Amino acid sequence: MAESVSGAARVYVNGEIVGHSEDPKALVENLRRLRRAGSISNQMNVAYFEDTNDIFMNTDSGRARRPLIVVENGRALVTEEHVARVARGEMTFEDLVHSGLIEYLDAEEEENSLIAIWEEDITPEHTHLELDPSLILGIAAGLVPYPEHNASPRNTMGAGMIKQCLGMSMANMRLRPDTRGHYLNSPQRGIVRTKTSKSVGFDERPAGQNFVVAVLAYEGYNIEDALVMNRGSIQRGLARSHFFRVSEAEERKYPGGQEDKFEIPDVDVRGATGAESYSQLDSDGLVNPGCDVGPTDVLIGKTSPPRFLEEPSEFGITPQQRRETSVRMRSNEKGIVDLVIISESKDGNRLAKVKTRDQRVPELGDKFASRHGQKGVVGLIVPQEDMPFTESGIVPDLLLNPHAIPSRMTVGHVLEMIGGKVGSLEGRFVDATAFLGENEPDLRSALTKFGFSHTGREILYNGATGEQVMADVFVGVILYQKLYHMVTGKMHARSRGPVQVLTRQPTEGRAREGGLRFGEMERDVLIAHGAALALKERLVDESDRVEELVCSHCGMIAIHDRRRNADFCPTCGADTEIYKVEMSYAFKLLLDEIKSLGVAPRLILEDSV
Amino acid sequence: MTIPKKIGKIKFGLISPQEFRKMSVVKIITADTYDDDGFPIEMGLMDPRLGVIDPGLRCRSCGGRPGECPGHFGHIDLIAPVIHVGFAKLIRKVLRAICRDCSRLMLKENEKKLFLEQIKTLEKLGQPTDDVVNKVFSEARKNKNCPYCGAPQQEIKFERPLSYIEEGHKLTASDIRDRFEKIPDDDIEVMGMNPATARPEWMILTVLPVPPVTMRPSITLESGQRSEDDLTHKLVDIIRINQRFQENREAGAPQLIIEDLWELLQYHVTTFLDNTVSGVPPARHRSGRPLKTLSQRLKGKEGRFRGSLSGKRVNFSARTVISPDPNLGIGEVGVPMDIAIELSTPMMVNSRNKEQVKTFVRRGPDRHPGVNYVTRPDKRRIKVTEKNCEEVAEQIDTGWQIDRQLMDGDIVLFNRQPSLHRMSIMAHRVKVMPYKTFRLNPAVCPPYNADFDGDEMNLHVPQTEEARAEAEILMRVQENILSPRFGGPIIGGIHDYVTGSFLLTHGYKPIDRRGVMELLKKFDISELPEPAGEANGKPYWTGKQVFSLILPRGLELRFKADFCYNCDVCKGEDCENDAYVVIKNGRLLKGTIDAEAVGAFKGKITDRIIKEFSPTVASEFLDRMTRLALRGIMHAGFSFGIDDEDIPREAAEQIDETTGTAREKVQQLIEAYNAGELEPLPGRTLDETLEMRIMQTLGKARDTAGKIAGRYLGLDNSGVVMAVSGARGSMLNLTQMAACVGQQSVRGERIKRGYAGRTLPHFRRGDLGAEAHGFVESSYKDGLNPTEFFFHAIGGREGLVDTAIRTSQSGYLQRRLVNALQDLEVKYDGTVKETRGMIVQFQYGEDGVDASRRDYASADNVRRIIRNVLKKEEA
Ligand SMILES: [Mg+2]
Ligand SMILES: [Zn+2]
Ligand SMILES: [Zn+2]
Ligand SMILES: [Zn+2]
Ligand SMILES: [Zn+2]
Repeated sequence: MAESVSGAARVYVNGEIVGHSEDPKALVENLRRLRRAGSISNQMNVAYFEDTNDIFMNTDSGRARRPLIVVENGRALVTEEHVARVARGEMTFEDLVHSGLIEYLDAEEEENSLIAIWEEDITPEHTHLELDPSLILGIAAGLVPYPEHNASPRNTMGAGMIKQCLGMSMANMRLRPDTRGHYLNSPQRGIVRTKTSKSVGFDERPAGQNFVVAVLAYEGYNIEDALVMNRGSIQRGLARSHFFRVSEAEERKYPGGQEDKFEIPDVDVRGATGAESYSQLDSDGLVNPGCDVGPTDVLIGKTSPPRFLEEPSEFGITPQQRRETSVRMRSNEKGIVDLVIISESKDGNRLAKVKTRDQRVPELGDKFASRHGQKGVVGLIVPQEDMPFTESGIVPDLLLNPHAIPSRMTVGHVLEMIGGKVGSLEGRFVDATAFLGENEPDLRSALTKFGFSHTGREILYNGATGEQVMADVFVGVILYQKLYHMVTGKMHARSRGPVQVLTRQPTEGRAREGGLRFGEMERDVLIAHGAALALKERLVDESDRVEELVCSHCGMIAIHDRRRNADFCPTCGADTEIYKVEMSYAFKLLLDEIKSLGVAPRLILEDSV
Repeated sequence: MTIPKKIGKIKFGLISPQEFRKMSVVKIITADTYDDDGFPIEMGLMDPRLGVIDPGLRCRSCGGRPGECPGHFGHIDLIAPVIHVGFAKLIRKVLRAICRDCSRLMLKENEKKLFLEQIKTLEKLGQPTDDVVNKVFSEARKNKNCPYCGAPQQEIKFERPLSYIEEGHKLTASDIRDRFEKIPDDDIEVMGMNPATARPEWMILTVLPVPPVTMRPSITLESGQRSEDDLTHKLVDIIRINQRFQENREAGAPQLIIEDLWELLQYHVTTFLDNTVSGVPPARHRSGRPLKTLSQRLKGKEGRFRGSLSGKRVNFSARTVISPDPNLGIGEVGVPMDIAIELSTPMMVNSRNKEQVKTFVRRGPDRHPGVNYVTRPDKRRIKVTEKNCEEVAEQIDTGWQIDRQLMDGDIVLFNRQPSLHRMSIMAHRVKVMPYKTFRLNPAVCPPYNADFDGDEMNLHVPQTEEARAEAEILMRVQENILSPRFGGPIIGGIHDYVTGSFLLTHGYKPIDRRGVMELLKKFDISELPEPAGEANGKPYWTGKQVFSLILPRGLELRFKADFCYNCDVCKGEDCENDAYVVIKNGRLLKGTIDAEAVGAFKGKITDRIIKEFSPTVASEFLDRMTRLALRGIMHAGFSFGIDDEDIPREAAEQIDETTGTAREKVQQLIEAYNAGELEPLPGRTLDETLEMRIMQTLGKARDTAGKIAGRYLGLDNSGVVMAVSGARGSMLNLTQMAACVGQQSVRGERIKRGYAGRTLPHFRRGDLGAEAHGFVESSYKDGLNPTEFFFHAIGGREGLVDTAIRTSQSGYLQRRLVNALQDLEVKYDGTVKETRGMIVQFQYGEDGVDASRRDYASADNVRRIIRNVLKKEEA
């Protein structure tokens, strides 16, 4: 087929060589012309590599391509006229693509291009023009205002935290039986916003609120990224949100005709708690909407058929009782019953869902963040009368520590504050899309129109003393987001509680009243401190301490027979010396595991005193 | 009562089939677990004699309830012997060392005697015998004929995973076992084994232990279905094959089938012991997940050793978000009321505290500080409730114990993970507070490496008197102010504290009486020093005087402050920048207090106070310093705005000019390079030279821009205040915000990757210019242009990735170091010994110096001692 022709370029289609071309430049140019004319598919891309003398044509799927405005003879083909027509709806973007004014390039064809970023920079050499440089940002990063004024890691963090913030993510929230969800009470669009927010519908389902922020060190309660908040603002509903959770139960059917039943469990039901714990239930065993429910309160009263395995008493097998299997609130959650749904599961069983709602008023430890990677938890909530106030009587919602800014170089944050101030004074939104946003000098001069200093600084008065704060304080308006990391969902303490069956060590996780892990590194620390007994207490007494019998003859675990009240060793019998030895249950388990491996771990005992 | 015993040593050996059978309470013959009614089947894998886990049942072997019964082993009689994978290598060695006919170790009697003596000596010295034993095996293998019966030996080839091939025939496990059985006891000793505890034939299993149900508990799912442990699944497989093997053998099945079944039995036993043997496909669950069998339970991070023994979950622990509270002392921790109510500390009732205890008990569990449980002398624990608290309080007598809720002054261990050094856990005193966060003085953030952007911390409450004593004496915050890492204070001022001290003490600004009172309102100072002067008929004081009030009398110190400009000739006390600190007899006479004086990691004053007074005095000083510094910063007011990045037009013009010339110079370099006129630097190629020269030029341009900006930014700029005082940020940060961000780099070089011959399709191919390779001329305040933004994102991402990689690497390195060093102990004679008592160092660190007791790792204190002595003589 393709014979090597000296000097001719190799032509590859989708990676396979198909022939040669004597005049590669003309071929490539022709192909592109035909594509722009619509004679061949606009999904075709072609590139010519002069150095290797190869032409690569690609038509296959899975290539990343991006749209660019075609530039011919130093002129962009898309004109203001086109833009206006698209804006008026007389033309679509697709039309521009079909008529060859905009084309999609893949990575390979991009190698043949010289792209201008701004129209005024176009030279005769340029082949394409960017649609808009801010399109290099995706959805999350595109929502960051003034990203070109920030150090790049902060943009990354800001984009990351936009995904964690509470907002109004769906309008049918009240009807949806999602397992859990958060809902910000009165979300606002950012006064300073980007074009992306409009494109992705963030303006219709906004998140965050515009806070009046003063950059001021306040009594040390906003050191190291903590935030000081105004109690007055909070009482007025600032950053209030709701947390929803749906608990569900099903009347399951068992082999043998038995089934679960939603009801108020009788006193003789096994595991039933006192009558008062079922007082909020209706006769159908379900709570009523509007009830206040606290931790472990019953939401759905339910009983299940007895288990088979039961200990025969001296009188034979006891009459089998139904078991209490009610669905309760989680041990660390509270709320108000919002909605009760009765439905049918896919197996045709009766299914009940109870939705509870819990109001979350901002409190110490709740996490907030601006869109510039400036996150922090509330460190103090100050009564409005003690907060500093401006000449015009404005009391900031939030006090941000000045030390949070210089080392992070989030100038975008500072600019957004000024932009927000201008926006709220002029009653408009301020555009802060990357590279295209309203610029700093304009915003600053806008401030002076309203009698403010162009620096954004204002005279503040100390709320406690009424005296003027010596330094002028930078005050602005900026979108702050409440993130879903709230203390209510994190605070956890365990004294004693449930243990795992296998290791007899405390369970894991807050939901299971688990213990915290005193891990290897923490053990290392106690060793370094030389705190031997504190270490022993943590690792043995306060975790899985047991006393096991050990046969001093064979060094294996011995047994206490409760029926005969006698100790014996499984191997050596009763005629041996057996001692009680303190150890960790996980260690006893390890001994069993080693024995199962066919290895004998023989303990050699010593006097412990 | 006999003397209580503890575990002294553990001696490992093998278990003989006889012992397995003796240990066993039941022979397991059926693979079924439960019958249709849900009862365990006798002689099945869940036989009630193996122990109990279901609540309400009793063990059929010992009568114990769940938690009391330790579990009992059963056994399976294997139809044919099977090799234990764990010993595959040792079996091979033994096989090659013994005679294939008479099974004697193929060494001459005198050789055996010699080796045995060596082994015995080493054992007596407590040293490993591996080398000698290996020598025994290799020497024995060299003999081509048995020295005893003269039988010629054959090469034994080993094939992974478990085949031993002799003369092209595979030795069966039975063959091997037969040979091993005949080895005389004396020979076994020469092979480094003890015939009483570990005969070689026991490495070939004929009886398989069935672990008790406590070791493989089944879980009951919500739907009422039982889900069995992986080990149970594996045992089911073994029993099934064992049965089939037996049936086939009894039915006289062909040899081929028998061999296949034997292989299968070997496979199942192998994977039961270890499911990650190379060459053996891992046994899988129905879902395709590999089973977690015996050795997987022990190995790795989540394994028994690291997961449940070295570290484990514990009682009396709490965790929540942290937030700052500068009004707490550095040794305090604010504990939320809800946590204080859940956690408790035991109190022993004695004749002296009986009445006090009763008042606690009467409060019940709901009125803090109340009591959650009481323990009677017979160890029965009674839960205290609102209802029974009065009644219980009446019964309380000496010998009882109560679990009193946490209250102010209790000592607790406070920890932030990752716990990288010993200051990651320190003992604090409790202060019960409202709300839901742990509160700590921000001055202790540095040792924990904590900040308040959502960090959580753990708290542990010691429950024994011994642990409390250790916490109090060894682990208190004040005992840990000095870090053993660099010998300086790791606790000290940060952010507001440093800025506040700086604003307060810089210069000699007059403060009127009212101002001084405001500054001192949190202190019990009743007398003011002599005023520094009078203005408008009113006395005034200086910040330096106010700061002197919190310094201990007798403190003598002089040093250069952090914001010293490092003038060519330091004028010392006469420094016109007020950057030379002079403290005489606890009076700040000259200089400015900044990070060098009180900051974390530096803190000259803190350090001096600890060494000359005591840690307690130092911790009190820190408490006072943090309070005063906050009054200082509140008095002055401190903000940061856009004007802190403003530079005057003339500066901007100069910077433009600088970057302009730099760009030109780069262009000249490129032209010279293209014209072949560039002189290569020694040891560099021409390309490298060009790159280096360009980097140099651009780097210098940024520095110059920074210097220009710095000239116009004075102490009226809050960014500068933070930078020079060492509170936060640096002049570089300010430069980047106000003047020029500078060159972006990947692996220390200009950005090169991207498209063929260029970084982006927006540049011409071969463009070597500054902006085409990541030079960001703009400042953050001006905003980056799209290509600059892109290059900056590349550089920034490299930083983020590096941090992520570094933390994981250093974490592993630390674990290895700790594991290597954890057993070393400094003994009372000053030597460092490991657990066996072997000396590692004759003197700790070979100089016997505790890093946290010496002056920033220097011998500077000699001079100071001389000065102090001379001063005393003068007096
Ligand atoms: Mg943090
Ligand atoms: Zn024994
Ligand atoms: Zn038992
Ligand atoms: Zn022989
Ligand atoms: Zn100086």
